[in-house]
Amino acid sequence: MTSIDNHGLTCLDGSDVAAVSLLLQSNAATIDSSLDAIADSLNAYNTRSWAVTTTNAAVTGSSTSNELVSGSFPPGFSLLAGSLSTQSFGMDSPPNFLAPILPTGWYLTGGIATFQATGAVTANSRRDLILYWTKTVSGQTVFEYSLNTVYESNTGGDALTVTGKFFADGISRYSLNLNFAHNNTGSTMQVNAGTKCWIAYIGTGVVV
Amino acid sequence: MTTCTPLFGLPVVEGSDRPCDIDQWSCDFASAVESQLDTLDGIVQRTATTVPMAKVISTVPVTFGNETTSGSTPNLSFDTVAVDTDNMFNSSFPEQIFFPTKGMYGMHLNVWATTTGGANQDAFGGSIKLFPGLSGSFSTSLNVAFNGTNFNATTGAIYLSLLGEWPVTVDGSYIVAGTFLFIQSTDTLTITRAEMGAFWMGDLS
Repeated sequence: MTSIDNHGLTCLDGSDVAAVSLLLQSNAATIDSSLDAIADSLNAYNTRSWAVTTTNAAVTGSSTSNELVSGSFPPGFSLLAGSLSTQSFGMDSPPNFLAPILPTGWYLTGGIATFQATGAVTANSRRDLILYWTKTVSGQTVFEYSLNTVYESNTGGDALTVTGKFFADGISRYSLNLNFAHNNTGSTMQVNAGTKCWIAYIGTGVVV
Repeated sequence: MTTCTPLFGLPVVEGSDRPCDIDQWSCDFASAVESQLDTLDGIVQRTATTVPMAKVISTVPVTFGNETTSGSTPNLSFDTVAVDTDNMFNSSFPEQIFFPTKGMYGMHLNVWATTTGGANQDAFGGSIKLFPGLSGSFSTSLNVAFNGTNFNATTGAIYLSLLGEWPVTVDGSYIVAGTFLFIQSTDTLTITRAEMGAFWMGDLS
């Protein structure tokens, strides 16, 4: 029998015409295997990981010193001028929306939030929406982050969207957090319910 | 043999065919199946391994002044590649991302900057633009993503984050993406870091 190109299919030549049964069996098995591999790849593409979380309640600063509930900045993160703190939303490590270890590859992430002062608005004061991606390696936390900024024009509340693209190595545990920071010295700030944080798998980033 | 399957044209043996011709049929059949499997493999390769994507980073600080005039707005220049699966970045053209593969693309930009103190309501913004070629001008560009903010009179850090999507076609020449920033202030603004990227989201019909 003669072999055909890439997938291991065979066909008869003049000397083995009687081997029809063997030919049909061999090709059927090869076609079955090839189609199964193609189906697996397409299913993997169609079932890529993604998740969205949202908050069901507003978060309001607990003091008059213009701070939200305190969180912790990633190591080395630059504190903004003034009295600022953050409230973390999103997906803590280990992620509870996917398998325990994120598949290796690149992920598109983002967050949206609306917010307003609970009392006096400090004109031209800043608000930051911060998206940061952390992992812990040998007790050390490493991170990447994206941010977006708006300065209050004393006209009421504001909204921000932030986005980033980050890499997971397929071994480490990662955390995705959406934080809010401000320096509205006139009153505390409220981040409204419906704040969202999301993540979606793009691809491996490895060319075969 | 004159009969073939309706969808993929696979040759089918008929009762009137001679048994001695079975070898010819088997080779015609195997070749036809091989051709269809090759086509499917080519489609799956674009999705199962990795999609076209790139993320490039500007790590060298650059300072801009008041830049609001069309055509003179500064472009960001990128020096580091985080990922590039489809030859989308060429260091000879550091301001641009190319699109060798057509498709619907998501594009994103993040900018870290510091101000030295201007005035309240000073403006800072940026956009991702598509150009018809390497020498595309501001007037022929297309805004894919845009965001802007204002800053105040104090020294401080300021950030931008943009995300957009657009169908990219390739008709004998590349469509390229680049950035434009605008700063409306008497202050100078230093871009300390910027990241631009694009990723394939799906085929165009």
